[in-house]
Amino acid sequence: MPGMTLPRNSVPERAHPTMSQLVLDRVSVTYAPKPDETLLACSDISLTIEPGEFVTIIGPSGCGKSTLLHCMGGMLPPSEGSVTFAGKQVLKPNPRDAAFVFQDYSLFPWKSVLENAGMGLKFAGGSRQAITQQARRQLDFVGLSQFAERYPRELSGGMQQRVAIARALALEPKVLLMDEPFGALDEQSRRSLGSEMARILADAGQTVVLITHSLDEAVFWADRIIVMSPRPGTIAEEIRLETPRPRDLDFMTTKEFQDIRVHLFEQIQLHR
Amino acid sequence: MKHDAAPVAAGRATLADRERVAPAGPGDTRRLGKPERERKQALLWRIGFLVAAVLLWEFLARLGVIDPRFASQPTAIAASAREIFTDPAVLGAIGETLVAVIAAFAIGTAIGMLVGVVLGFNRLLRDAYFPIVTVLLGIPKSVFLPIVVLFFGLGTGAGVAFASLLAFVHVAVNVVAGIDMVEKKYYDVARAYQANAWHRFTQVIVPGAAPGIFAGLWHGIRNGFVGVVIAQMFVSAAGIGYYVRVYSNNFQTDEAMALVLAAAILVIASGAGWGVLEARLTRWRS
Amino acid sequence: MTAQVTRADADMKKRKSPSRGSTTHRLRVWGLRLALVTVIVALWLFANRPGGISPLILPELGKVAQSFVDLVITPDTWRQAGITVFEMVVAFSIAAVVGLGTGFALSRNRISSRTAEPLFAWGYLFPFVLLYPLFLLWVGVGIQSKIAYAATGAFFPIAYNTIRGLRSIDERYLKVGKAFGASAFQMDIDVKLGAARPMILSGLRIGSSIVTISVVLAELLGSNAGLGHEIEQASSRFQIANSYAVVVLLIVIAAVLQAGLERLLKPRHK
Repeated sequence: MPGMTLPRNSVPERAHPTMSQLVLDRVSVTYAPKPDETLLACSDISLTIEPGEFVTIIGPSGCGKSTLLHCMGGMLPPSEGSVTFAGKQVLKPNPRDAAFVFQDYSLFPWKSVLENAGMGLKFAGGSRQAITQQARRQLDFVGLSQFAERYPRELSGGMQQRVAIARALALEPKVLLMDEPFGALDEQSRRSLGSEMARILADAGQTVVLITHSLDEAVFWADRIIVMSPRPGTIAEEIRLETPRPRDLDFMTTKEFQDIRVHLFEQIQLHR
Repeated sequence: MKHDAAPVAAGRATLADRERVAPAGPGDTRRLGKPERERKQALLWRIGFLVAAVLLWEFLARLGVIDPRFASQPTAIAASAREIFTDPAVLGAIGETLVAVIAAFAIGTAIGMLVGVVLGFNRLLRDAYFPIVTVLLGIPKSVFLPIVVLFFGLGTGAGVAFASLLAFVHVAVNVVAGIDMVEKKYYDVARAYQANAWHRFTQVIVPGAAPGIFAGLWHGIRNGFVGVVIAQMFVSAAGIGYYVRVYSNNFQTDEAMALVLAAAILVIASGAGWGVLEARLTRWRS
Repeated sequence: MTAQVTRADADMKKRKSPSRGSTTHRLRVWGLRLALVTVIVALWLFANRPGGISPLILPELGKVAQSFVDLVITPDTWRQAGITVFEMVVAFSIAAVVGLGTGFALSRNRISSRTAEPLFAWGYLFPFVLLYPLFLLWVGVGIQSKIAYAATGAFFPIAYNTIRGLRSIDERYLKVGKAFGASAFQMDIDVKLGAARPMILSGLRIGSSIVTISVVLAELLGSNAGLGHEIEQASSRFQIANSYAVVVLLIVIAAVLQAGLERLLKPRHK
């Protein structure tokens, strides 16, 4: 591999202040499936997400990627170690800091698209008018303003996921945590929605942590790729990409892209 | 979509489903082993609650906060239970009630199934007549009681007729819904493999409609019993209903309560027994 | 177990039929309904023939119609109907509010919800009608005994279905609520109520049908007012045509109430 591989657990130096850094310090998560049995999902993970960064996490199934993401967002307390955001310990979800986009969209089928987009804001409190306004702006942003009054079941999977993204972005979160957001889509919509979203998020300078199974996605969008080992999940490797974002589809034909892709493929095969 | 699916499903499947859905995200295996412990804990709480309720009842009755003449008290009920359940007349009444319930259940369920299957499969008949059945579901069937009595006279016959009506409506509605729940893709599979009508019925429709049919029969049991007892209370000179009315009117609250509780235990046991049977027969679903 | 299938669900399925909207189909449907009515009327008239069923059991159709008209133009009928409807509405409201409240409260904790669920199912099975004579002793013969009795009966299926519905909510929705920082109250209203809605509605429907049955039954069994009482009075005076007319009126009223409830419960989205 050409010199793009960093030693594991290294924290890249950046010009940004540490203001809204998301820092995982020696995080381990243990489950107790039965009273007399424990299961280590991920082990001793240290990682810093810098503002404006796009980090992708890739690894074999069951390596604790989702667990890690849930820890970052305060959905799951780490068994050991700590998660801090902007210097403060993360104890419960705070969507203004880190908002989730889930693989299965998880829109509320009994609410309209507009209400779904404003759901997070509603939970956070605020005037109805302000919520509606902001939700509309976000729907517009993801290109669904004409579907505001529809219900989720009337929308395709890709459109539903856009609503879920709008719901998260409406809170103007400092970090967006995406758990295989396009995993449930077919190849075609996955590619088109993926590249569209990547561009939107890059333009907005949004900090993103994204879990994916797709090597292409992992490489195409990332400033930095985190490769995880199988359970118990640890960080096997970090790869920094040199080509600046946002990137054109042409990037997929470059040697850098191809080299990293091949390398990732080997890494994942190796750990299988 | 799942959200609006007719909620005919059976109780047992729910927990299993939930445990299966639960892992979404990190919780993969977190909950294994927990349901069993929870079930036992809940059972203990339930027993505790019932015991506490009985004790409280007894206590309040002794203190005179509630008047035992009107509301009875557990010890007095237990004492009178020994008497009335050795009284051949009362035992005969219970027997008569049971026979009537079984007859009503059989009649109501048979007609209900028949009508349910016909309406479930024939679009035209269903559009024409199913609304009538659903209206019957919504209106108070007790308004028919005086008419039933006129037709069948004072006695068990009226009870059976009335209870059959109650059971019929609930069974028919649930069977139609059960047939609706069989997804079209299963019919397509059956057609693709050229299943004949009999195979389609036994292999696709019956299992698919099972939740609805089971729910319907369950309602048949409950309403068969309630219907018979209502008619007995209202008109008959026999059966549990009649005795409860007589005891109550004579202020023999202890005897009335003993009989009511015995009847309740009988229905609840059959309802719960039915639940177990259903869980066993539809195990494939979870 | 206690689930019930409803008109709304049935309607939803019906829309699948391709030919359903067609005029011929609609004509046939109405034709079949008309045929049923004709058969019933013919049977009735046939039964009324000399030597048929005694008019003390089945009065002449014309007489029933006449009684019905008389009934409808008598102001006292509407006073009695008002009492019956009042009892139904109050009993249902109490059962709904208490049942939903109890269901939600107990569902905050997994153990308490699992403890209560079978108890509520048993309560639904419990033949409360047997306690009605005692209800009369406890709360008197007036409207309060009808309300108490009907509300008690309806409470159990409502609470049971609420707990069942809340317990089988898809975890995905709860996860969203948690991730977006919903408070316990917001979780109840915005997430759980929506997700468990079909099950809760079916509980409310079962509850409403128990309320209507119970109120009428209670009026028949022992009361001094209401339409059920009217039926009882008419039967005991052998004014059979009159009882039939009141029965018809009650059915109409119950159907109207039911339609009103359906309208109230109808989901806003299709």
